[in-house]
Amino acid sequence: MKILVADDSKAMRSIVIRTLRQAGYSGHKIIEAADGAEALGIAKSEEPDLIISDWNMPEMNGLDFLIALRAAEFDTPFGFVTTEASPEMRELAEKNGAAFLITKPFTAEDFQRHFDPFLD
Amino acid sequence: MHIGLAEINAIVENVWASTLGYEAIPVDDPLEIADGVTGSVGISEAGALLGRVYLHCSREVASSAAAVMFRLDLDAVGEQDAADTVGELINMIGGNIKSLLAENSQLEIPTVVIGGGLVPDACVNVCDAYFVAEGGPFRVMLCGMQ
Repeated sequence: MKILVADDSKAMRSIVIRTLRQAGYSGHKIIEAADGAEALGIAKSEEPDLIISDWNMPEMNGLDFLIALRAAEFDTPFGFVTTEASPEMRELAEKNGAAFLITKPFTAEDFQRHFDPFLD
Repeated sequence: MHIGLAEINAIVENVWASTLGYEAIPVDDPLEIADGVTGSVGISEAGALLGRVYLHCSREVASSAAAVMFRLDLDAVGEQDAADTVGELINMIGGNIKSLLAENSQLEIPTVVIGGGLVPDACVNVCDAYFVAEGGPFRVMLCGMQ
């Protein structure tokens, strides 16, 4: 399976990938993107099985990435891993088709709880 | 902006344990941190800055954290790795503090300065917290501007 990790912070992408392994999701192909625009291109060309995206990113933020992805008729499971999580953001995420919103910092158990429906 | 020491201690301990996998132990007395790395992030509401959160640590603390984040040997950690790590840590600390404030407050983009001491903006009130963790001491300061 393929997992796309989109975050403008190289440090956070590294933590997400490390936590994926700690949560037991090994053997998957991990693809990284540093902003929403790059992630959108990769999502269309690589068709990952799960997208894990930050919210605040340059070029194109995570919400606009999600909206553009759905507008292009890709129904890839998509969730946010973000520092901020106001009720308004949760509502926007859900309304636009996000499956989950995980706040930083997170644990391997948080990942398992949200990713198990999508990953082996 | 009225966030106290207890809230900051809890946030920092949680960020260190969850993200780095080791303890940040709060200490009562100020600790000297020479020639460090300083990350800061502003929290604003309707365009007005409510306050700024600072993380000031030694290069050893920043490098130890970066080694965990990037899965590197300590010797292989570069200055940019350490700066990215401090930026992400202050982003998480700031985001968690913001979540305790008004719903429409906003977190700004973090900045990181390598070298020198912590020089805060003009603060109306200050909450200053010191910790000891892998690599040495570090300081988290919340500078309220309203």
